[in-house]
Amino acid sequence: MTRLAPGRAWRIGLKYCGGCAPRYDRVEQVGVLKKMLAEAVILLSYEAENLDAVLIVAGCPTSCADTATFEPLPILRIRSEADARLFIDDMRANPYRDLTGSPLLVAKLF
Amino acid sequence: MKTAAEYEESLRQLNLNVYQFGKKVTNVVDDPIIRPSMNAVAATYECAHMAEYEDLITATSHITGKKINRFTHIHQSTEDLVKKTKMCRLLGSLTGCCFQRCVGMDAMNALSMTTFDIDAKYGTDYNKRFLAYLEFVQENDLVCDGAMTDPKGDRSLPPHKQADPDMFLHVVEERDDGIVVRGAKAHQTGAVNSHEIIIMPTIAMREEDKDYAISFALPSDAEGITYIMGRQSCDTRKSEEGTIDRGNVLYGGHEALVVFDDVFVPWDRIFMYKEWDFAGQLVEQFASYHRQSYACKAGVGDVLIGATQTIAEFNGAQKASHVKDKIIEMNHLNETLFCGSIACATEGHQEESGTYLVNTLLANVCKQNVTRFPYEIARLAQDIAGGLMVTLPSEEDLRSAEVGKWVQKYFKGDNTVPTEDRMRMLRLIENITLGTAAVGYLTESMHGAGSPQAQRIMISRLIDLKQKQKVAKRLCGITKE
Repeated sequence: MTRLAPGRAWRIGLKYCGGCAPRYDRVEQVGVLKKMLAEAVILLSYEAENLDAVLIVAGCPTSCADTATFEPLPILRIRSEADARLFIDDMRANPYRDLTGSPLLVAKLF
Repeated sequence: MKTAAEYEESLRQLNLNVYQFGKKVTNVVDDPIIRPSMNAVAATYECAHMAEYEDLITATSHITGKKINRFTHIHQSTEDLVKKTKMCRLLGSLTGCCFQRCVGMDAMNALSMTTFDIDAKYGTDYNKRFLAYLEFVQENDLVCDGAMTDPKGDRSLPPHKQADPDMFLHVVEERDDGIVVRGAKAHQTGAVNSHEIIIMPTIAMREEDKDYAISFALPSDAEGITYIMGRQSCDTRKSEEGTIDRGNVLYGGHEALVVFDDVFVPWDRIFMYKEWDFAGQLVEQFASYHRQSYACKAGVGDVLIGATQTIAEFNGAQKASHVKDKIIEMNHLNETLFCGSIACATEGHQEESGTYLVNTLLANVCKQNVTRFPYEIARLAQDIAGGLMVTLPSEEDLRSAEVGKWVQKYFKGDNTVPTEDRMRMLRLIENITLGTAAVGYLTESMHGAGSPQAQRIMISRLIDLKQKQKVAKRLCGITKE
């Protein structure tokens, strides 16, 4: 499901990159996301069932976390604090948006 | 996968024969000098269960399909090789020291290929034995010490010509159920924090040395094995009551001489037996992986650079242009270390066995940089930290009723920074550049995975000079060959 039914929150699986040399505090940013999007988004383990999407929290633009096993779910990606702010602003402005239209969607090249 | 607590408990079940300062160590896990090194290995278990690190610290077993600790994984892609590099940097930055578990991983990856190739030539079944052993290691999430370096004796002589035949580990008896070996392995990182010890030959061999061309794995507490702990600079500070003077209050490394006094090895644990023509391949493949593993020093460098910037701020010197430039230089050198490891990983390839091997030339270039750059990074850290780093009074003096007030007063830098914090940061820099962690950051950077000349020999062998000459001649118009 990529459109949210009224009264329901998005179930989004959280996957971090491995954090070898992160350019920002990923765990802290996730804390901010949880707080700012408490009504619109439930962040769960990426192994949880019935997810609507997966959010990759990458520490740098390389974004090397494995994502192949998440298809066909929409994969959203944060690679910086600016991306995190964009995600928060977009979800607050458009809580019922189609996630495949999210500005943080990882585009596939066919 | 084990948790850190389960790992610690598993070590308590071992019956290791360990000596330190001339005495048998009765409680290895809780010995104050050894304990920090156990903590560092435990971090490899702890991080596997943390969401923010598991993408690097875990992998999917190609044997069972289960999630395993990456330290027990055989690389199945260049992505795996890159993740290994990043994992090593991550753990270096989290522990600030040698976390010891990489050697076993590198040994197993090398054996996955060499056993396959020996079988292909000689029709043996080493690979099957090795894969059974690997599954055992993965299922139980074990730490393996990859033991290569023999004491070597007279370096000008091959193993079979040594005055003392035990200078290289060798077989002394062959039985129906296995072999008996005698010798020792030196500089064994993390040996007493390991569940298993994997033996490999240390040099390429000729037929005369075939009794020395052996590779096997044993439980670390097998009968006949004795560990003699190596001393480290400032090691006894870990047994003092206070913690400031240790520098790194959490983690450390260790090395040991491991003596094999007529130790029995069953056949099913033997992965090479007298196939002397493959000794060199095993050494070279292990060395290539292990030279890649020195991405860990980029992680320790992250800690040292952070400490150096902080002490500059504590000293009130952070705005000086030369200090800023030195920090830039430290970062430049540190990231160059990372570059080398990433490059050899990205340029890796698949071997016949299916295992992915790093680019050997670039791995040797990577390690050659590691033999030099940490020394310069350390020099710049000491430059910025100042001489106080090596003249600082002890924590006991700081806490002293008589003189503590003067230590507090005269060693204050920036007035907003507690003197104790300044002392702690200076001790951390001391620890990495002169103390127990300097063993790993400096001298092990120099000699670990082969001394500098070993890499230069490999670089010389692998570079295609003729091709370089050809392109030069073409560009300047020389047409004669």
